[in-house]
Amino acid sequence: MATGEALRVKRAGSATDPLWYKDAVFYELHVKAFCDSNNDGIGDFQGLIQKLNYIVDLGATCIWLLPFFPSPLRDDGYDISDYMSVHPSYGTLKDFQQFLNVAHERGLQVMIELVVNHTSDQHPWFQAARHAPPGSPERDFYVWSDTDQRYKDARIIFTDTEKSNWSWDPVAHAYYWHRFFSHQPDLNFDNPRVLEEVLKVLRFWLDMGVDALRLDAVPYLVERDGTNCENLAETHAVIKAMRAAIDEGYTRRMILAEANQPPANVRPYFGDADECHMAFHFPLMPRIYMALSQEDRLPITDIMAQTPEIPESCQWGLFLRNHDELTLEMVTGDERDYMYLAYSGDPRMRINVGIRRRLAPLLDNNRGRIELLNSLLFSFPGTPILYYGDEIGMGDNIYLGDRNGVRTPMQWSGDRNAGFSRSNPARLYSPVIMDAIYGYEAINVEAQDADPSSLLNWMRNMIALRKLFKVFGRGTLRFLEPANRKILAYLREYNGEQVLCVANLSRVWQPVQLDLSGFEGLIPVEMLGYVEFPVIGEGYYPLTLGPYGFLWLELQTPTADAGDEQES
Amino acid sequence: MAAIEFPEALQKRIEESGPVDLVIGVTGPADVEELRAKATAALKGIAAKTVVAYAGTAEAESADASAEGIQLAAYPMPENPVSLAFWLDVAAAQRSVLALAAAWQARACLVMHNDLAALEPAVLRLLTEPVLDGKSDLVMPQYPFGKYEGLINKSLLAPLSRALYGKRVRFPVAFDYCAGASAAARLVESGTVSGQSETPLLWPANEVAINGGRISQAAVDVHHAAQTDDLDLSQVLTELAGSLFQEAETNAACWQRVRGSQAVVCYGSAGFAKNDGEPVDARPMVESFVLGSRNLEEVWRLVMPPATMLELRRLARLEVEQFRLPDALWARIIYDFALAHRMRRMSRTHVLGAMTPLYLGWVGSYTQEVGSATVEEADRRVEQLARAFEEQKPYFVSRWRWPERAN
Repeated sequence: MATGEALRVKRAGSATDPLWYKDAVFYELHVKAFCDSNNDGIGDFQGLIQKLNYIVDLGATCIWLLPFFPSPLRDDGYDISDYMSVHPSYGTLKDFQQFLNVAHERGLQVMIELVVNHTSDQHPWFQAARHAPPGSPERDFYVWSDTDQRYKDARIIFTDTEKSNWSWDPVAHAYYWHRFFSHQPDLNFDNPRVLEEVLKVLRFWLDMGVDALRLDAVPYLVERDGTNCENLAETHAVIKAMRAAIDEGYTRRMILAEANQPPANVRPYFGDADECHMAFHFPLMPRIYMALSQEDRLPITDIMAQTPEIPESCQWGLFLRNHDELTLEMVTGDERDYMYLAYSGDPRMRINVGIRRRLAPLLDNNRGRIELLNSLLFSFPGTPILYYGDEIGMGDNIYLGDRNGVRTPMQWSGDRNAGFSRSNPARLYSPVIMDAIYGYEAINVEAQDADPSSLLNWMRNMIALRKLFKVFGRGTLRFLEPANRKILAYLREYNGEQVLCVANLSRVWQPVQLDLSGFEGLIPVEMLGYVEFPVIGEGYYPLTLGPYGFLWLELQTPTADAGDEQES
Repeated sequence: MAAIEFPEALQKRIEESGPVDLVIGVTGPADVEELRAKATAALKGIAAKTVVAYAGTAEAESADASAEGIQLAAYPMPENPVSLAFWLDVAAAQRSVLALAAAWQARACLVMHNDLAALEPAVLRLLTEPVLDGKSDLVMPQYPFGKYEGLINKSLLAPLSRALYGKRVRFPVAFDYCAGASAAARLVESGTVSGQSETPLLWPANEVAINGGRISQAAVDVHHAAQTDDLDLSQVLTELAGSLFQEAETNAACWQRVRGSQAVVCYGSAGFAKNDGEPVDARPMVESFVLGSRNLEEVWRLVMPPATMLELRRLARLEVEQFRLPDALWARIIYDFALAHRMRRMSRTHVLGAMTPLYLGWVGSYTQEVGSATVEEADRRVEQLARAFEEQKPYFVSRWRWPERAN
């Protein structure tokens, strides 16, 4: 195995545009779930390297890797026991560096996880801390207390498994603080040495050439009595220090905040463009599903109205699904109840405060709905993030524990183990999906590759189309307000590019009259088929959309006939 | 492709010399004395401070400025990794010349064929003055029109470039042209595509059009000897069309927003070749097309939709004398091949190779159409073809965006 020191040659960022992440299409995957090269039943970096062309062909431009570090794997790798190495199941640091180099050669950027709110309880720092005397530097790496009554206003996040944010450690004879599982003690950012160590980790990966870091659980870094211990000023000071270290030593890198908060509370994570470059827009996602189910645009327009402006260089990260549950933390109680009723008929589909299902099953495998939601993902202001397998409409397995039902092996073909691995099926880290609708024999890359009408080819075309227009990643957004609320219509504008997006949230045909005043004389050109629509005139512009139909219309200026222009 | 670097001595000389007005770069080796003599005569009164560069390692040039403010400089001829690639060699040399001009902070850079046919006072004036006077960012040559000359350009390069980028430039890939400082710098950059091992061709007009620069043409009475006599047609098509298709892929976000086309200012009077050209026997070309339609149908079917295939089958049944390839069909064929080149569903060499019989079919059709026409009439016929490319562009955009949808 290559040592970390041997690999520590500072490499340049792979992107050329400092704002590359604004035009990017992210593809989120778990190394263990993508491709197994050594047939041990677990995906690895060599397998991932073999499949990079698939990601390139899909059109994604940045790979987001879920945690691949040494870990007891009690929280799927978010319980890290060594920040500067690779879990042996996935390969070595040398394999990671090879993957990174090949990804860069293919024009892909790479984002990895910086999970520093907490460590595994198996991390040497925690083991040293629990054995060290109170007040010692080692002990001070974590948050300890003689009582479990401090920070009582902080909510419990994993409500299904945790009863308190404090757990008793019999070795330390003290309670330690943890916002997530009890085996994930929180680091103590009030101790400057913790930040120093975190910056070492950050530099270690950036030096290797990693392009972006996702800051996991970032609102919870610092705790204070009398607060809910979220989004504190001291937490923002930590993020600013990380950003300063990046700006000082690196170019064309990016950090993304995972802050599951209302938009107004996420806004400070951008700072004055001196904290995170990107942040997820968590509240939008459940409201897209709600709008679809209610056939009413209001949930979407309402949350977007609450979304504040962000600095020019910053960007929202948008997603329909990810490796976690479809979180319902950011909706009201009534809305949550509605979502449970609409999208999780079986109680096993629920976990914590959310729904643990993939995109296709959530949408009843309805192709029109899947395309509609992806059209919103690709045309809303922000950078779209795809979750591996959703591009082929993979299903889930609600009988697996925790969120493992949405983390099953990628379905490459109808061969054994879905083409993911040649190992004994019993040895796979997770069973492949095998049901009649979503099973690997029905849903797989090989089959969809050969089918011109497949969801995979549809996704490829949509991504390619989105990448032709900078307006989607960088433009402004303005909602139109037609009387028919089943229609969502919005204008995106950037540097002369004007795109009108119209979506029918309903299962049946819908008419709409759009107020396009100010655009008279322009020609809407349907962007997928490059078809000219009637010129925009005075008065309302009528359109009719089929069930779950959507239109992307580029508003073009008519060309003056230059044929008569004389050459001098 | 790596950035262009010059030998230390040349670099030092550039630094000592300071900015110049004009760099004239001969894209190949040249007889130094002949070059000096012709340049001195041709450059009278054009620019105060001029460097005339040529490919070579000899130190025959003098660092001393001549009475006319001209100095000669040799630059190393870049090595092209692809053997027998004529146009790639030319592009590599042009890029070196442009890089040299950028290093010299020249206000204008004139690249020139090493036959020195363009090193004439009137030609230099037409090509360089619009740039030096700040009226244009790029002046492309408009060589005299001949019925049977430059058919790849007439049938494919010029109409496709015009339809994509919206500028009516007659010779989008040329031996002689003049670029302003910013255009020259952009052209050097445009060749440095990461991950690409071979030197791409330069498409100056397309590059400048994308960046909103001012393009003009200069009608120059310059004739270069036929460049492709000893070359395999498929090889030439692969170089030229492949490069333009690659450029279309790189710039897809730009050209898909361009509608119609605009004439560009032309300095000088456009001329026609004095010779109408010898009559051409279309039969072997049409027969090549028919043979291709039999042998390459499987490949063609992967590239072109059923409606096009049907038309090609119909054409293959015609007598040679009746053989006419409609402009709209030819435009769609080229668009289909550009798309197949982008999709990479088969080897690009195979894609481009399969285009050769179709091109010969077009030549067979064109030569019969213009056989009895005057040069002026043939010129109008070429213009008609260019308009067909523009009219069919929505077909291309539509297929580009949704390749599976074709009928």
